[in-house]
Amino acid sequence: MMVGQPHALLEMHQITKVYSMGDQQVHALRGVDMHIDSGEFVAIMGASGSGKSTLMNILGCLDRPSSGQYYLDGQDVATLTDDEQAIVRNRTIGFVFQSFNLLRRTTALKNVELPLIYSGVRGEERAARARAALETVGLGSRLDHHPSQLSGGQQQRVAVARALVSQPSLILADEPTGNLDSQVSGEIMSLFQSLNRRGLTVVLVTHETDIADYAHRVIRMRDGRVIADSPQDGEWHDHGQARPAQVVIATSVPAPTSHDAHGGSPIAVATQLVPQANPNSQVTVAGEMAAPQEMLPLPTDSERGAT
Amino acid sequence: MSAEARHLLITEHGPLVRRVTVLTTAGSTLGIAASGILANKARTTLTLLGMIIGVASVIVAVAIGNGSSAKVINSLNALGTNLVEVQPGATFSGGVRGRAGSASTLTAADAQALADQAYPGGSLPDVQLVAPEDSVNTQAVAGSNNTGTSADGVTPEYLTVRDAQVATGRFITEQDVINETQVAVLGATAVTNLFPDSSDPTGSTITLSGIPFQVVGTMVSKGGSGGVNQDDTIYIPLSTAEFVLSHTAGTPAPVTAIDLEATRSDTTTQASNEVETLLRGLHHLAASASDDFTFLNQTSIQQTAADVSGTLTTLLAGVSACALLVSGIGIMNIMLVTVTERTREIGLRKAVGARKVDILSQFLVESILISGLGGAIGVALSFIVAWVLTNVNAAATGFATSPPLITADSVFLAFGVSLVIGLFFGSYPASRAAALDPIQALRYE
Repeated sequence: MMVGQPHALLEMHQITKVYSMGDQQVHALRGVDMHIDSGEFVAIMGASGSGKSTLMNILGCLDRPSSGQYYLDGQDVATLTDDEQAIVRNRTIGFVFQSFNLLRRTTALKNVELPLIYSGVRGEERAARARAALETVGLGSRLDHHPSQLSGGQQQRVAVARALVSQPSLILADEPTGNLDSQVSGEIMSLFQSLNRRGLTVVLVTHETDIADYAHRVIRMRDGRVIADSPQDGEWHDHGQARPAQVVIATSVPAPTSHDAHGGSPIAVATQLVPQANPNSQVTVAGEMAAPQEMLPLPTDSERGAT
Repeated sequence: MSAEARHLLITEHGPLVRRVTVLTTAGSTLGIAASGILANKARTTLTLLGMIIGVASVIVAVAIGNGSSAKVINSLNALGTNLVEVQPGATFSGGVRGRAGSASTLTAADAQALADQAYPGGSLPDVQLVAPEDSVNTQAVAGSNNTGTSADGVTPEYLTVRDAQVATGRFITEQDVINETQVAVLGATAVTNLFPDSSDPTGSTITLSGIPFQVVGTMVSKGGSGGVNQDDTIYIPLSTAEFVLSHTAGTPAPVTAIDLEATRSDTTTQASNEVETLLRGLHHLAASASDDFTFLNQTSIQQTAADVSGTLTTLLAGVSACALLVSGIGIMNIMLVTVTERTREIGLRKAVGARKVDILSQFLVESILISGLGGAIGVALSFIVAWVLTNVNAAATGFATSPPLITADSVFLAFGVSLVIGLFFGSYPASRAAALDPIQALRYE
């Protein structure tokens, strides 16, 4: 079953997707090869109709390719049944959507618990893990708020917490800032960056260049094909003036490693963001980010077994 | 966790071997379903109402049927269940069949012959007692009160055969019959009609068709049934009825009925057959001739009455079952709306790992919760309705004498059916929800 490097989180070979619309055959994907390693932060870009949404659906095991192989975490997932796909999504993938997709009638905590319900985690532990995930995204004080009581940025943070809570190998974000203003978008992207620094693989679909700039690697698509796949290292500030918070980060804290190009220290991110954002939530973020290794106090599988 | 470690973990446990069963998520499923129901209170209430009315009407309909059949059976039991009544056979005149009992084909001699052969040892092993009756219409007068009633000439056996009870004084004795004494025992209605001011007229004198009789006792009321009021009767000795009151000239004297008590309630048919054989012999009937007497078997009357009220119950329950069915369709309707409304939620649940069975059970549990809750409230409502029918204005509605009788059977059945309806009518909407494509569901506006 294994293809390529053992550490490849995600590997696609000649993936095609053909939709039949009456007599017409629409080729959404025309042979996509892709290789994403664990720990990468990748943006997939393309105009509408480029096939990036179809690719996203296949990446997220929401859809199956018409042909080709797709290995996720070493598992051939191209031919799974619906229920097997559901299990892979539950265990391996965390989704973040443009429209947040929170359940309106229930609290932030219960929203974050949702994936754990379907992996069979029981009450107490489920709540503890959801609380931890919400603390990670800086919403530790908003556990019992309903989505309608939260700002757009906070709602998207809840969605990110929900994506994190099942400890997935991969976070898939589909236009996560599409419904947010540029400042809040910056905050959410910083959140993704900090998660990525802690080892989470993030794949992001966007059509906005300045959002894609947060990633370390940009895959561009057109007409169902990958037309460019390039690493990028901080050229984002060429786009300039739109996001003062990030400009401050970049100038105040030089990139410590080549792989962490425009991040800077987490403390710097947080403190610099404070004046421009909701002070409450950002202060919490700052506190959390001071100790990135402690941010996800989630039990390991063996600990879970013991409880 | 490094990729390698994670990979190991997944290979070890196998990501596709899900240890999560529907049972382990049952608590969550119940909570999700309950919150779904509570989210739309007005809509849920209306749907519940259909189920409540359906269940309550089924239970009440069956209870009313049970009540009336219990009443019929009780009043027939009051006549004595071991009772077999032989009446003179129909007369044929000019092709018109007369009423049973209008011919004079049964005589006191027949009754004597039956009594001689009765249990034990005779040719009528299943007949225990024989009680001939000679009923005469008469005008009864006591002081200034008078009433048209029937004087029933009987023997002492009547008391046992008819399962009757003396209230005051005594009943007709063997001695009375032998001596043709002019004594009378009054039924409850006769007491009321003739002695409105006295509950115990024992010792008084009345006249029947002008002939004086001394009242020696009164009877306990038995209640009327089938148009026959057993209480509106004055009992006198059989011999007195035959020879003093009717002035019957010929012998043997005719009787209006011979009551037989079978040994047990389940031997009434054998008893009838034995008596038929004996009477046909006594009456010298040819094999081709039909009987000149008729049997009135209480068990068969009871059976007929039970059949009638059973049919009524079935009809009522059937109509109510339609109401229940309609309420099921209401549940299906509301569940389809709910599924459509919550398409995005379903998409999201699928995206975060809900399998088909998770979604299916969520909506099934929701519809079963609605129908079960409606069923439970319906059961409670049926008890309230039964209480109201029994206690409020019961005299006017006629439920005083036959109160609705709620049985455990009908309660469990109606409640069980309500659960099944939830399962049945919820399964189509739930399977539609489970079959939704997550991508399209997530995009649904």
